[in-house]
Amino acid sequence: MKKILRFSLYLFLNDYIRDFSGSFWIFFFPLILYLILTSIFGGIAEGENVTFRIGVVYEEKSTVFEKMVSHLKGEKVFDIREYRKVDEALKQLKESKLDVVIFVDKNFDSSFTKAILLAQTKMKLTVPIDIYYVPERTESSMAKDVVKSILKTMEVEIWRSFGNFKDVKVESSLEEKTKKFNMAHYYFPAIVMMTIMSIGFFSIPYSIAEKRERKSTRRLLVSPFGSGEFILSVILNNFLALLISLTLLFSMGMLLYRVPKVILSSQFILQIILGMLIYSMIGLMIVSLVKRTSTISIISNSLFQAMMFLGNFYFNVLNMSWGIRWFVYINPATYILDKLRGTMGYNSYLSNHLLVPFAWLVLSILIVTLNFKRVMEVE
Amino acid sequence: MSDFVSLAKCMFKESIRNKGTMFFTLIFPMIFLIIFGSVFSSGSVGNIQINVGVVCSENIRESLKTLKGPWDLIFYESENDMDENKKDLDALVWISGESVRILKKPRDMSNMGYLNSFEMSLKILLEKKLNGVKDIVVVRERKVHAGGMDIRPVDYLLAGVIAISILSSGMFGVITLFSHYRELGVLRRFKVSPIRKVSFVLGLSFSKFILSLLAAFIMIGVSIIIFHGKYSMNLFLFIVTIISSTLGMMALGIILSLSFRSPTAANNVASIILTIMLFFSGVYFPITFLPPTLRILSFFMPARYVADAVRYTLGLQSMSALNFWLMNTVFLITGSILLWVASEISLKPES
Repeated sequence: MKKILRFSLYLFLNDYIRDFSGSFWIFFFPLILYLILTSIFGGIAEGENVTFRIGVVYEEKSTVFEKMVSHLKGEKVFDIREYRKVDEALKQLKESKLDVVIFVDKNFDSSFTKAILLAQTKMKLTVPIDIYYVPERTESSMAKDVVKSILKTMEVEIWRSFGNFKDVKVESSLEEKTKKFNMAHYYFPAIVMMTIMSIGFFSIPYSIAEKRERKSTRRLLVSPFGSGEFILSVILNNFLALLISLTLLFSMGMLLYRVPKVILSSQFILQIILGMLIYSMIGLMIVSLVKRTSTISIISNSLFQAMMFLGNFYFNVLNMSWGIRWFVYINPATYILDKLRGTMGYNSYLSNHLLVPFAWLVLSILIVTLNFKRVMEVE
Repeated sequence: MSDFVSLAKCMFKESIRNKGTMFFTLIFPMIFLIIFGSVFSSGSVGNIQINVGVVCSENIRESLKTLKGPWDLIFYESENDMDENKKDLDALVWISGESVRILKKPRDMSNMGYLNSFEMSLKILLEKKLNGVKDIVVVRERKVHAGGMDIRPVDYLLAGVIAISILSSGMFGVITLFSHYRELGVLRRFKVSPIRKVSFVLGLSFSKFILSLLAAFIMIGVSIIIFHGKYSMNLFLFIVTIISSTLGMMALGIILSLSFRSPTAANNVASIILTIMLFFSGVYFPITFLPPTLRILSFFMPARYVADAVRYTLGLQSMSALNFWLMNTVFLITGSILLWVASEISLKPES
C-alpha cells in the first residue's frame, strides 16, 4: 500500500505539478468556465443584462403611442430608438443593429381614439400595429414576444381606466425547494461533472498511453511493482487531483456564489464518487481498446463533447427528436447530473438514476478485465 | 515560385497525413455542428413542452385553450386528481372566479422563464374575458429575413458554428504545426536552407487555406444534408472571408507559438481565447444578453465579425459592403504583417 501511495504521489507531481497543461485543465479551467457561465446566464435568468433594441417608426407624430412607450424609455431593459422612415429602421434590423421594429401608422392617434370610444359601445374598431422581427435571431423573436405582451397589457390598462374593472388576483408561488433558483447554483453540478469527465476522458487515458508509448509500462512489469498496483496508483493520483480541483470549485461556489451547503452532504459526495468511478473505468476502457495516443485523443474528445452537450449540462436536451435523444438516455452523465441537481433541490427529469450508470460501470470493468493485457502492453 | 509550390504541397501533405490535425480540422467541428444542429433544430431547444395542470370551470377551459405558447394544459376535475399527478407537472393552476393560484415547479431556468410568461398571459386572458375587453390594438407580426431568404434559427446558428470552426482550425492548426516543426527541428533546417521567408509564409498559409476551405465546404454540405440548411452562397465573397479570417487567426496562432516556448502552454492560451470567443461572439448567445461590460469585450472578438461575414456570404444576414470589405482588409493586413514578423523571428539565423 505504501508503494502505491508513493507512486501515486510521484505521478501526481509529474502529471499535475510539473506539467502546467495538466494542472490548468483540471484545476483552473473549471473555475474560468464557471465564472463565464454565471456571468452570462446569471444575468439572462434574472433579466438584469438583457437589452432589447427597439426601433419605433412614426409615419406621423403620434402623441398617443409616444405616451405609451414613454415609460419604457426609463427601463434599462429597453433601448428605444425613433425613426421617420421604415426602410431605414428595417435596414438596421437586417444588419442586427435592432431587435425589433414597431411601425406606427400615420392615422394611429385618430384611429385609436375612435376605437376607444367605440369599445364602450356595441361596435368595434381595431387599430393595427406592425411589428417587424427577424425570426431566425433568438433575441429578435424574444423582443417581438415582449413587445406584443406589453401592448396587450396596455390594452387591459386602458380598459381598467374606464372604471368598473374586475381585477384577477393571481397568487403565485414557487415550490419550496426551488425558491432559491439561481443560475450559479444550477450550473455548479454541471461544472463538477465536467471536471470528473475531464479526468476520466483525458487525464487517466493520456497518463497510461504516454507511459505505454515511452515503454515505461513494460519496464514496470519486470519490476516488483505489479500492473494492478500501477493502475491503482494512476486512479489514486487522479482522485487526488479531483479532490484539489473540487476543493477549489466548492470554495469558489460557496464563497462567491453562496451555493447551498447541501453540496457537502453525503448524498452529493457519494454521487461524485460514483461519477469518478464510472469515468475512471471508461477512461481505462478506452485505453484498453485503443493503442495510439492520437487515436485516444480523438475518441476522448468526441465522447467528452457529446456526453457534455447531450447530458443536460447547459440546456435541456430531453425534448429533442429520438434520432439523437437515445444518446441522452444512454449517457451516464445525464443521470449523475440529474441526481446531483435533485440533491440540491431541483426537480428531477429522470426517475431511475442508477441503472444506466451501473450498466456503464459493469461494462467498462468487464472490457478492462478482458483487455487488461492491452492496457499494460503485456507481451 | 517553385519553392513556394513545393513547400505548400509538402505542408498540405503533412497536414492530411497527420490523423490529429485532420480530426481537429474536419471531424471535430462537425461533431459540434451535429450536436448544436440537433439541439437547436426545432426552433429553440427541441420541442419545449411545459406541462401545466389546471382545475377550473368548464366555461374557462375553452378560453384557456386559446393561450399560445409551449405549455401543454392538462385539465383536471378536482384538486385531488391534480395532486395525484403533480409529479409530472411543471405548474399547478387553480382558477376560481376572479382568483387564481399558481404553484410553479421549475426544473431549469428556461422552464422558469416560460412559467413566468404563462402567468402573465393567463392574467391578461382572464381579465379580458371577465371584463368583456374588446381588442383595440391588433398586433400584426411581420417576418423580415435579414438575408432575403426564408431561413430557420438553426441555419443562422450553424453559420456561426462554421465561422468558429474556421477560426479554430486557423489558430490551432498553426500552433500544432509550429510545435511539431520545432520538435522535429524542421524550422532549424529551414534556417540553413536557401528557402526564402516569403515562400515559407505563403506555403504555410496556402496549405491552411486549402484545409480551411475543405472543412468549410464539408460543414456546409453536412448542414444541407442533415439539417436541410438553406444557403445562398456568394462563392467569391465566401472564399475571401475564409482567406482573410484564416490568415488573421493563423497570425494569432503564430504569435502564441512564439510567445510560449512550450506547445502545451500555447495550446492552453489558445483554448482560453477560443472559449471566450465562443461565449462572447454572439454565435451561441445573443450579444445583447451579455452584461454591459462583457458586451464591450465582444467588440474585440474576431469571431463576432467573422460570424457576421460568414452569414452574409451565405445569404443569411445583411451587411454593408463597406463593413464587409473593411473587416476583411483589416484581417488580411493584420494577418500578413503578423505572419511576416513571425517568419522573421522563427527563421532568424541563430547566433
